[in-house]
Amino acid sequence: MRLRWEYILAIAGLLVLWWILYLWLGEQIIAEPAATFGRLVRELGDPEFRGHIYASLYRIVAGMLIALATAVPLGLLTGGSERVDRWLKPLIYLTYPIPKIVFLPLLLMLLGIGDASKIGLIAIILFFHLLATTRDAARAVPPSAVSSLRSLGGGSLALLRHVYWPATMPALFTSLRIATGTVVAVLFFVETIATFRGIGYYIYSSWSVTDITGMAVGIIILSAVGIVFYELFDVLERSLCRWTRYR
Amino acid sequence: MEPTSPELLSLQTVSHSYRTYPAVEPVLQDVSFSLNEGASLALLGPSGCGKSTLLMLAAGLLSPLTGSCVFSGQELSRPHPAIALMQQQYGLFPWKTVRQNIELSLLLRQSRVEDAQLQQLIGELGISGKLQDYPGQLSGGQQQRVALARSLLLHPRLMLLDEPFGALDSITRERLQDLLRSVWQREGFAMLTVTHSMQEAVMLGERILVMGGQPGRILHEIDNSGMRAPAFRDSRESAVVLEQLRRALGEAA
Repeated sequence: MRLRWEYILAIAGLLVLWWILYLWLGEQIIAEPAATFGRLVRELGDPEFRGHIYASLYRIVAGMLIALATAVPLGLLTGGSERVDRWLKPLIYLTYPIPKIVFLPLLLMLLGIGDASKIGLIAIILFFHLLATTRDAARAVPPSAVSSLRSLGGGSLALLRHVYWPATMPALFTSLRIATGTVVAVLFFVETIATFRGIGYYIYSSWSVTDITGMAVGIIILSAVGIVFYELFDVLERSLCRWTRYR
Repeated sequence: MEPTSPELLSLQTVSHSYRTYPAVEPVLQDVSFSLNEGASLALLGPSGCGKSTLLMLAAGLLSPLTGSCVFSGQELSRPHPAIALMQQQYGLFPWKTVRQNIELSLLLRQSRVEDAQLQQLIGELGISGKLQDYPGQLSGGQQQRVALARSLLLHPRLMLLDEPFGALDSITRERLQDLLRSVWQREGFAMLTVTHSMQEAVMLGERILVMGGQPGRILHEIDNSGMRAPAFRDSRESAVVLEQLRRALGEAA
């Protein structure tokens, strides 16, 4: 209950701040809060607007799933094996600092202007976050945990399932939570290019016709998407990694 | 004269090195000893003398670079189902509950245990009511009792203990030593304990091998065959062995 009240207070504080900024800067720059929420309610009843939300959610979820399905096994493999790590580490270190967003033109040429290139960019950006985290967490597994399982007769698969995977899960959820903000930002960017679907497009097109209220509606939805994913990862971590409370 | 029990574990002129590229760091040199069924042996020595490496070799987790490591007549090249390893820390998986930790060992060894048998054992070890807890919720002593339960349920012929009670306070350590001694005498498994505590070596080893040097080798062997006696802890005999050990370690240094 305490958490819920803190949330309500935080939302109230943000609304007050928004209202002050509106009064200070005027409706040419900041949308009027009450009108924005009225528009938001109307838009949520509009199937076309909901289609924008679904398009954005689809791109985020698909990008996340692709990144998880590729980065986690590779991270576990690299972090769990000195030999694999020796070969892959230089590649990871060389490619990790590259701003992946610059690959969008290349992805547009390779995958076309549809969803694939947008999902691809989200997946690539998230992939490197998750790969680095999973690798580091797997490398931090104490050798005694490995020898303990091996002494019980566990092989490589048992090690992955019973040691490396559960040991890296908390770090993975932390990485997903941190990356949520980046993913939403990238989503906005990719949805401003070569598309007519998605909340990013909705914000961009509202801006192009100086529809300040429309922009605010889009920003609220995009923020809500980020908050929902952040909270979802938090809930998942609390239920799947209960043991971390007793570390 | 009591009949001698058959030899269970034998290490012959074992040497081992770790490769820390580009260097090679020798950790053990020409170590030989054997352990009979139901007997106990303690390896005592300072940190870095290769004791834990020796235990990894006996567990089948490492293969010696030279020499042989034979368990029950067979060369050890992988973990053997009749050998249980109990480690000082992280022997339990913190992400699994006590029950899951215990069941995992049975699952990996493709073994089963009746719930009544499990309840009886954890009752005896004083950890009843802890099955749903995570290791992080338990004290150090309780964690080691769980680790002991996990090992005992496998009905090992050889129990390997790596600094088993080193992280515990002295009262808990003594209680667990006594518990382990009584279970060992009742169950009849052989026991190989690695420790840097002289007191622990005296309480857990019928024979005590003093290790030292770098690379590590066996410097002294001390007979402690009286340790099976119930009141051994406070006996004059244990004090004599302790003194012998102190002198041997002094010479080794």
